[in-house]
Amino acid sequence: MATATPTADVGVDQKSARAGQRGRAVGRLWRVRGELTFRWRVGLGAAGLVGVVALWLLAANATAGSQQGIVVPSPTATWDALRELHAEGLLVSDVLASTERILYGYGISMAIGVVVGLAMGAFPSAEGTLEAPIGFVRYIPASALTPLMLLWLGIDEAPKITLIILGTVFYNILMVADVTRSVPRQLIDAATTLGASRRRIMARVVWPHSIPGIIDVARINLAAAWLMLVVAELLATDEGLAVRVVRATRFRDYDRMFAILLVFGVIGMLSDLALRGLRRWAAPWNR
Amino acid sequence: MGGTVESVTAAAAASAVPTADSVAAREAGPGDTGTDGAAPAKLRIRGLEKRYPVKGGELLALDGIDLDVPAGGFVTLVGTSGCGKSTLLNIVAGLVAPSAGDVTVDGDRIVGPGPDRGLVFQAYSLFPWRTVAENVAFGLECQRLSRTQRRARVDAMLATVGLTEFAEWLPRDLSGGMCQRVAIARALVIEPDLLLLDEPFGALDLQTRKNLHEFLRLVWQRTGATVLMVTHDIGEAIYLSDQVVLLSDRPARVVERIDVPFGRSREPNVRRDTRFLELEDEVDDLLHGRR
Repeated sequence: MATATPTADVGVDQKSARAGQRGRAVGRLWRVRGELTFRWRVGLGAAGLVGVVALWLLAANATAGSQQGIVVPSPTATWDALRELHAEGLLVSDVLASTERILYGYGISMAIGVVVGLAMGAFPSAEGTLEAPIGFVRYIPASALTPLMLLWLGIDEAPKITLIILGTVFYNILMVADVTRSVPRQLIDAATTLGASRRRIMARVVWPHSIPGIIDVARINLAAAWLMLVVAELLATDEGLAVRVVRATRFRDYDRMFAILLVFGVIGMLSDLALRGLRRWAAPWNR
Repeated sequence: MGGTVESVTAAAAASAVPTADSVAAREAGPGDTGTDGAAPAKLRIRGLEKRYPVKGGELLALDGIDLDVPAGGFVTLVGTSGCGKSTLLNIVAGLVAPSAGDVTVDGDRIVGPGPDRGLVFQAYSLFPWRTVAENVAFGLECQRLSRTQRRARVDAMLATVGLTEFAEWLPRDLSGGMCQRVAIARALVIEPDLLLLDEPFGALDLQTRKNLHEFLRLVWQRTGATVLMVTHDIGEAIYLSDQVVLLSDRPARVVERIDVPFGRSREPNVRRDTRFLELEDEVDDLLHGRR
């Protein structure tokens, strides 16, 4: 004991221990489940994007001049290709064509998801009946149904929209059902003892409580809708973002391919932002 | 003891298996002997049993409960936590089905939840997307009252519970005590025959709890509601109620019915009365099997 130095035998973390201070101060940025100020959020977001562009530049430089294997076009070349697509009038028509398919397909899928999901989450009868069939169908890859859709529905918009629905609706149903199940039992009990009918409980308790969760489900599964869109647009068609990528592939037009990929990313980010805004507007009580 | 405590074990044992003509048997019901006598029972419970299936068998939660709450009365169930008090309350509310026995309100058998029996939970259970006023209005909306009628009754009730200026607030911005006042207001505004309180003040600090005791006494006297409350706070039970009913550990049985020997117009300082303190000790001993 006599040899021990005073700092060595106290039970304080030595890194954090300073004279005249107790405890461990935690910086704002690394606090577990801490919150960022608006400035930091924007600043870090920008830094992340700059980082991606920097990596892109590095990759473009490293592959510059090569025609085979991995070829990464530079950001400027990609930008030029994007302007070219715009000048040819393809960019707007492709974006509109693809977005329209998503809006119809995913819109219908969400509508089915909400109705069936609410029913499954709320009523044991619906859950019991639907759980097994959905569990079965869900594991059939929707993309494997492409040829069948082609034979059944032709090559028009119908098979494409149907594929988007098939590729997302089961996830939507099951996830909305989960959201519905998370309505606290006591809120339903409270409503019942206040004289609410089953319909009123659905409309005035289950539905409002589920809104933020349903918007989250819509946000998460939207990515799957775009995935199915690409598969769907491989069916004969002239317009669409995925069509453009496939066409560009034939000519090894890496610039155009990257330009379209960029567009996918931007659309995704914007729709995510819009849905976040919708959530905040529709359920201000929820965080 | 001062004659305030009377064992009802014998009476409970004498209660026959409940039958269809149990309403006719009300006059001779065992619980009636303990209360003020004249007032007819609003809520009447006979031979109530609740069993739950558990892994490898059955759990007996409630074992032959007999209970009467007279109209306008305030009866409190006291028991250790997990003894089944809340289950009993949920059965009266109609949220849980009994395994055996009769539960009647004004002679009508309870088959499910209804607005005639208001329930207040320990966890408030307010609708987080509704403002204070909208929360209180929920039960009135179910009755399809006009907007103006609703408004008038909500306003009056908010004034009663002292929350008028918070009418447009969301529950998340309120303190626990305020939330519980909203929950009580929401249950009371539809004027239920029976107000069921499930450890309503359990999550609150001592000072808030005492304030809400006064609040509840006031509301009870003003509305003439019949109250059945569950708590594990013995002082609270004695201070608020006409009768305290002691439940044993699981399976819950009625151990004792104690008529509180204080009048209805009580002042908070009755808690310092020697008789109050003695009664508190007595109940505490009974609850923990020391007597």
